[in-house]
Amino acid sequence: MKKYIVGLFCATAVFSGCAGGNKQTTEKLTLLAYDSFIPTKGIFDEFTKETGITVEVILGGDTGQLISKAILTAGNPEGDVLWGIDNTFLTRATKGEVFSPYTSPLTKNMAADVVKTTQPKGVVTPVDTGDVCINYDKKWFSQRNIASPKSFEDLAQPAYKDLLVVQNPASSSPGLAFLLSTIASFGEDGWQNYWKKLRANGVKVVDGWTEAYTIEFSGSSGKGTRPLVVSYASSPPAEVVYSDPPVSEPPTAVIDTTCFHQVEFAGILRGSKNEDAAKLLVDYLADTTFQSDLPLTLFVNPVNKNVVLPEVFTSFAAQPEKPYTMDPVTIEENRGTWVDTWSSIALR
Amino acid sequence: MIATHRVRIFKNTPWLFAPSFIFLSVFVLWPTIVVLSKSINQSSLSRVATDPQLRQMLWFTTWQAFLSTVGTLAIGIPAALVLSRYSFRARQLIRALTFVPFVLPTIVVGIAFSLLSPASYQSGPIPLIVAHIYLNIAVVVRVVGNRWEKLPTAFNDNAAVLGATPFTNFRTITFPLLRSSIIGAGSIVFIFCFSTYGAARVLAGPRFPTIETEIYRYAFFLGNMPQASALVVWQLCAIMLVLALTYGQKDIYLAQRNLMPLASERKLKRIVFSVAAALIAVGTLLPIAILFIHSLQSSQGFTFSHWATNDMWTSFLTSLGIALFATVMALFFGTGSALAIAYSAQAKYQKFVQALTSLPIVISAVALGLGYLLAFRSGPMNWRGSLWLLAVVHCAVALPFVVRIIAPAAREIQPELRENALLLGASPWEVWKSIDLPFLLRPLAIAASFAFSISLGEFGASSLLTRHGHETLAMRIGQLLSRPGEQLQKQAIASACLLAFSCIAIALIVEYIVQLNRRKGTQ
Repeated sequence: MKKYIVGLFCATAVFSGCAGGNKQTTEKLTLLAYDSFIPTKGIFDEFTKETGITVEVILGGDTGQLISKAILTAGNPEGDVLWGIDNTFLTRATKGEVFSPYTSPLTKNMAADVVKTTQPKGVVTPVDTGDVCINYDKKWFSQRNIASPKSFEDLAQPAYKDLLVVQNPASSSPGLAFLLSTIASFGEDGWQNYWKKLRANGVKVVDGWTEAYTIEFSGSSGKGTRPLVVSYASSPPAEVVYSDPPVSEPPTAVIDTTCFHQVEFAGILRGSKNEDAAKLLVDYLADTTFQSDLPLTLFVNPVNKNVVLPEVFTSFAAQPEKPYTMDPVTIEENRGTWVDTWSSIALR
Repeated sequence: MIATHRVRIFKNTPWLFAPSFIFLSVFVLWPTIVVLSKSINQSSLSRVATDPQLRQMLWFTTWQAFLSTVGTLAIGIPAALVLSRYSFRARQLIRALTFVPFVLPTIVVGIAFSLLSPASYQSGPIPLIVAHIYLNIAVVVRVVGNRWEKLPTAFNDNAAVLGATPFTNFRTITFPLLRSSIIGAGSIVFIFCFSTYGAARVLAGPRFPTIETEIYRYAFFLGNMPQASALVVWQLCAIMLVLALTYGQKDIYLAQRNLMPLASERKLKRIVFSVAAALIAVGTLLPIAILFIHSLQSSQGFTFSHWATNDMWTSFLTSLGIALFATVMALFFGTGSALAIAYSAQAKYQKFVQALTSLPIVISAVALGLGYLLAFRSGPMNWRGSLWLLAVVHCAVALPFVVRIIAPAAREIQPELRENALLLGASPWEVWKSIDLPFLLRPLAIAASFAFSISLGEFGASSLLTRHGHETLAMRIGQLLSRPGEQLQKQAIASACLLAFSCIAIALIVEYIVQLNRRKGTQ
């Protein structure tokens, strides 16, 4: 087995040696990303062909782990470019002086409100967006002849008692996004009252997305009992793409009035030995080739407006018209207080 | 006891410990010191004692660990009795099975439990304690069972003839002879339950945080490293205290002996033991069987498609390679440390080695993982992302177990045997090879299977290391479970089954080799 691994090493070394070595001296960039970063294999070949730079992807845990590790190693980073910090975490990273400021000129192809989320200006480049929304189990509601809930207010109605499972915003990124969307919806004065009602209506809080979606939720592979869960707007198409056996309709759908808009960014890590090459890579990540790959691999929305979305994505991924959102600075300033208040209402 | 005039065949026992000392200093102590010194401060340390929420969390962590330990002993001791008093055909198989839950990723155990009882599934302290019992029975069966196998039945038989009830018999004869092993097993179980992470996240839920889940939350979600470090220090102190309180139990020497066949016993006893053994097997296997069936199901009937993914088998090979490497290292360092403990006559030195080799289970996985990130990142020690670093972490995590398995066995070798051999003119090396080594083969084999399985299932510290895409099986399970899509979930469950089956296979192979060897030895 050791031989096998040594073999693997050698093979990788040989391949990466060949890939960029025609005329230019081989440069290598390391792209650091979260664990679920799984673009199509060979997606960076075109980049290598254009620039002579090879890209090595390394995975470093979930977003929270990535940021804590990036702050600890600021100035002597684990990679050259970091993929995947979102607007709920961005300010912490910029405060930790993680990035060497660079924004791709390709932001001209992006929606103005997405670019506006990038605060402070010029530090990172938006690369994708996604919405955190309530998902529901279609069969559960149709079998019982109950209409699926349509709004935040519905979730607190007796008809939907004991049906919702959410994640703890103190430990889960979608959980935090959902709390933020209720705060954005009900305002600084009303959200606490709303959560009191949700608790009285039997909302269940679990620690993370996996526990909520795969164990408690009734609509996916698990045998859970709750037909309402906080997940992503793109979870329904993922259920189709990874269905077993193939299906043409997802078993789940999204309540698009409950969504929180997340923007993810890519940035150059301060201390990278190869900033000029890293800039080219950030540009590539924001350009159409890479952006077209995003919908069906990472199940997020591309930010580049020149990208045509695949059909399975357009027909099943909810594109909420008016998702709630919040700027990174407000989130960072209030997160601690909000989460503490929330804990005292929803947990204790 | 014989310790006072023990023959020291290796006069310089420190040399036996030197390699492990260097290994532990570089790969456990140094990273921990780096990460703690970078972030700790006085106020966050004292905040643990004054903040009502953190105090409540500490209190919950302690009492659930205590109840879990009591529960594990209450079920584990009878299980050890069934599996170590008489020999019967499936005994080794069932013993091997009890070890499987111990290495399964806890998230998978959580899913299995929820599949077993979908309707009444509730999170809270009770499911957590039940899961802890399920996960840790193996420790009691191994540690207490190994001792129990050696208890001569004659004592109990004589007492019974003289009119002692079974209870008096246990209280006055069996228990005193087993006490050291029960305390030893209890302390390990307590430490595991005290530093529980995966099970607590899935089964206890956000209303009942434990110290390790809080360390994780402060470090990664709140980005408050000083507070996370302070909790690491508190955890370290608490576990050290438990180890200090339970260390150094006096033991009476008992020789290895052959078990009586169950078939020669009375009918009632045969039935009771058989039923109990079957119950242990079913209880252990049920969650795994449920998972296996689940992995074969799709809405159109049975399918093997979830087992037929290239990625799974690639990561399985990676896991095997890393586990092999980690096992060889853990046996090398672990045996050295264990012999250093066994051959030394100084109690202080024994304690020192024991404490140092316990460090990997004492230090929080978060601290260890982040320590690697900070300690090995520049100059000649820029090892970030190296695949072999994973094997090193696994070796560190397995080391305490290897030491704990080999050291007691090495201590039980009768010094008279060595003295005689030395008198007859054998060199120390010949003495060791012909007397110690044969005694150590069985514990070495068991330690190897422990180390291998621990490496296969390790998901704590190693999940924090940055990787170049070479996923181990345990990491792959976590990744698959964090994305929507039925196929991916089923593949995760298939991977978990593969992990469980590998552990069963390893345990069986080792038991088979040990049996073969023993049969050869008795002929």
